[in-house]
Amino acid sequence: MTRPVLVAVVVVTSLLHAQQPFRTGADAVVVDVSVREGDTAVRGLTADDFVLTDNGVRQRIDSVEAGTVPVDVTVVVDLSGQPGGTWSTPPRRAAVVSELRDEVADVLKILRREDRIRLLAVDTSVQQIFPMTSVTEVPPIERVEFDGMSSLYDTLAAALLQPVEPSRRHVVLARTKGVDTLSVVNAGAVASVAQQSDALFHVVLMESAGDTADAVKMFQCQFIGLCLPTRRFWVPQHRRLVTGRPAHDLTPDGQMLARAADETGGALHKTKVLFEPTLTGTFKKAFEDFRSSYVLRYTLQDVAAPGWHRIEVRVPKSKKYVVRSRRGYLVEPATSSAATPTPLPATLERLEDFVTAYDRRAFRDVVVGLRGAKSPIDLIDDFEKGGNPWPANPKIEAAFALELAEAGLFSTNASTREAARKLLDRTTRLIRHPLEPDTFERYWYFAVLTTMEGAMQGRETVRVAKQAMDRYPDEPRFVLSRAIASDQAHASRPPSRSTERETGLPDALDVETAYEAALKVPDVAPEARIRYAYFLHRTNRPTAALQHLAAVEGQHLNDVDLRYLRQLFLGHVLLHLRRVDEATAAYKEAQAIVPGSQSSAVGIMNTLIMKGDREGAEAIAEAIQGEATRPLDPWWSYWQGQYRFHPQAMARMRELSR
Amino acid sequence: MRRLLLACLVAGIAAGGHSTIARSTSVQTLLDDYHAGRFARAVDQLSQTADFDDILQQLRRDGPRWIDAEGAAGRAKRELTAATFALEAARAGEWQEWKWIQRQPRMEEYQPPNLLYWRAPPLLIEWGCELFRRDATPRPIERWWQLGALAVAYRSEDPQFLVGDTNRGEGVFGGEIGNEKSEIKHLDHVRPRFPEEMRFVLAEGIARDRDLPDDAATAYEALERDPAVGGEAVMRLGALLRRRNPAAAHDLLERVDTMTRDPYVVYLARFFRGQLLQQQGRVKDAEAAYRGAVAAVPHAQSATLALAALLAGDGRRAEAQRLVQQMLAVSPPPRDPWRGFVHADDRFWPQIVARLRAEILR
Repeated sequence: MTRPVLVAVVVVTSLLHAQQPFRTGADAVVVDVSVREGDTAVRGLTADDFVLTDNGVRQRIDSVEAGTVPVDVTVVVDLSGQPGGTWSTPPRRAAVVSELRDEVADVLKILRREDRIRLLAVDTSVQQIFPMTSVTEVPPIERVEFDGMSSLYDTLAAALLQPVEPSRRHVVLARTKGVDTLSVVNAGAVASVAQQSDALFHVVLMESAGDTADAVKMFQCQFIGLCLPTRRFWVPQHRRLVTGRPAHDLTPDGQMLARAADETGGALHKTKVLFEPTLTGTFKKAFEDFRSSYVLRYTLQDVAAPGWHRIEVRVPKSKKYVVRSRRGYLVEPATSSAATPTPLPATLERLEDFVTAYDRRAFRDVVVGLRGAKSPIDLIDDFEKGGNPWPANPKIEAAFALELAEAGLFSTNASTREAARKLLDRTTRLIRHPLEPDTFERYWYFAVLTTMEGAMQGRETVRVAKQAMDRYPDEPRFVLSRAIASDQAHASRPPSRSTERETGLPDALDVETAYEAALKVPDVAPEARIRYAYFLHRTNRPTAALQHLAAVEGQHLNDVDLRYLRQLFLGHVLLHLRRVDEATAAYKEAQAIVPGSQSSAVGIMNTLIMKGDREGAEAIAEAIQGEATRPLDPWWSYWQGQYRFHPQAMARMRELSR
Repeated sequence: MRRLLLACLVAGIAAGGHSTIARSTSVQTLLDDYHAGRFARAVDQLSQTADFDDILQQLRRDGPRWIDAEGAAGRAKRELTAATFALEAARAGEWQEWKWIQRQPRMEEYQPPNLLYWRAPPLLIEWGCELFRRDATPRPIERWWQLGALAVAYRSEDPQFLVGDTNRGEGVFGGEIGNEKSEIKHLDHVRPRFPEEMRFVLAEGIARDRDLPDDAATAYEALERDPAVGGEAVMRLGALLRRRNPAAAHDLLERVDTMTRDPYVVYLARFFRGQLLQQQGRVKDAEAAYRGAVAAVPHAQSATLALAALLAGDGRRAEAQRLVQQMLAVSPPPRDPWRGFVHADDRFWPQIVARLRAEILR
């Protein structure tokens, strides 16, 4: 008959912290040992009675105490269903919860006030019903998942991979049907974890549960023809700890777990004769061992600390004593303490610096750094090769890619611009929501289009704008973007070398069509009309241009730039029509909107020249040249389209990515 | 003898001791609740239900009258309500009972083919689908309903509902059925209505993944370049090839990172790659792959535990413990992509049902 013997080992570091490294010379090791003669605990032993070796080196035992170490119990219950089973009535939630409450209550009766308990449940997932809790504060059990697949091995591994406070013992007590259908770790891994665990590991097998299921299945197949599952048809694997009845032999998995449990000082409990073990019965027995055990303390001597420590404990005074000890414990090599964040360099240059700065939300530093970057193409290249620096949040990656692409798009180097465009194309594919265009993608496109318009990438912008319109046909800004980009591309065509169609650039008709489409969208119609008017003016159709500018008159425009440009272009068209006084009035109106603006001053200068007032014109020219600072003139950024919205678009992207 | 047992069983089910919805309230009342936006109340009632046959019966009997109650003006919206309610009911009941494939008694030398009987949940989906199919041209909201139906069907884990008998040719003992007319083949109804929706094309592959891997592989390969589902198709193709061609599987799974940022897909690709590498003994690479998966869906159990076990095996117990401790502390735990691998689009269910409900309230 196997005599229950219990040994547990606890490593106590000088700082008494479970996850701190073992330190040679300052570390005490605590081992709790149960010594029995037959069914009786042997009492009254002293330090001189024990012989303890650590990695083969005999250690001096500093003290021996009666076993009063508080206990942490992790109870693991199996709530999984019968995947692959045939017709059955699923258990009712209330019944499952009630049964669980009773089971916990039974365990609690055995525990003392200083002990603690954690409850884990096996089902499709590893469930922590409640974390390690004082026995006086156990929360009520309300919600549990049950009747699913079995993640038995995963749950056991999770139970065994719990840190243990040095001053406490950890017992893992698992009740299971012995079937695993879904775990990612295997029995070997659980055994390996158990062997290196500080916990005492008991597995209680409920063989009858499996027998009943098998019997029902056989009956249903034989007598009502239901041989196949009626629900839950996915059983990725079917691993068992015991074979079916009547033998109920341990499978290789079961043998592995049994050996591992044995090495921790626990056991795998199977039915003996007709009596199936119970969770509380097993725990009661294990707990009695705790109450009658010894706690040995020694200071490690003459043994290198890191690595696996094999322990042997003997009591030589009687051969009848059974002393089985846990075979060892693991001391991890020291690791450096958490590093303090390194300060960012004054000038960001390397990709990792930009990434770190972005992660810390130092957006301004990133923008400034990228604008001054010597080789944006190298940064883009590094970024492409390195993968997503924010794997849990691809939206940050997208926002950062856009910052990086902006630096590339404004480059004078064609290869860099091409690399930036490719980066944007790739990211556009990646941020696509699997089901539908979402808010983030909408803002993404807007930010991309404002950047590309700003970089005057007309032809490419037309392509992206069309993509954006496919995804968001109702977005006014994308319709306008296509028109602006067509205009940009048309303006950039090589003069009179080949026909417009041959260059692959939009012709005048394409631009008109795009603007006409934008005119039909009320949100962007005023801007489209002003831009269209200027296009018509440039293509020598002043009357039509005037009509469009007149159509905007009287409309309230919040955008100062648009108000200004309307007046400026009105001046240009009127001047073209030689309506000089009206043109002067329009330019003056523009100056009133943006005082000191240069383009309107030049307009006035032109009207004076047309009137023959060369002196007046020269005076304005001198004034323009003489002024050190001038306000931002909307005309200067006219060709950059909606780039004026870029800062807001980027701010929104950064906000949405958090 | 068998017929007697079957009769007893059927009678037993009919008179079942469960609390049925019929006893507490009628489906019409639940439809009224659902239509008025009291969604949680209706769904709560469904979750306490054991008799989904009764719900189906009531819907078939009273549903048309309820839909027509407001005349032509309210018909479209009430139809959507009824169909969405049917979908919710199917989802609530699908893990109770989905279908029977019954082996028939042998007649001397002849073994009759198995018979398929759909239980209530798939029939509830089909009932809702029929409502939509009356319109020759699908309404935009039907796309969302059909995506919802697909999500519920995936969660049932039964490919037969989507594409028919995947055991064809396997014989009676392999589960092949004889009453083909009872097949629903849901995708056959949906694909022609939404020829542009690649998720329904992807479903053709996913439904064949377990039983007809060659057909599934063909479907996945055809979708590799699709911007919407290409990443997932490549991930599933990689997963499918893990045993047959680990090298090709590894390459495919590695490619996924360049194709999508869908965390579910990225996670699974990295997780499967970790498993492949671990099997090949490339422990460091496996560790990196698992870390990547955990980074994609923090605290997801499968990769966290695989990584923790690997670290513990390598003597790095403290980090392993920390990972597991943090994993268990997260409440509610994140949806684990591996545990929902065959449930596929069920991950979109919250978004889909929110969309359908919003349309009902609109």
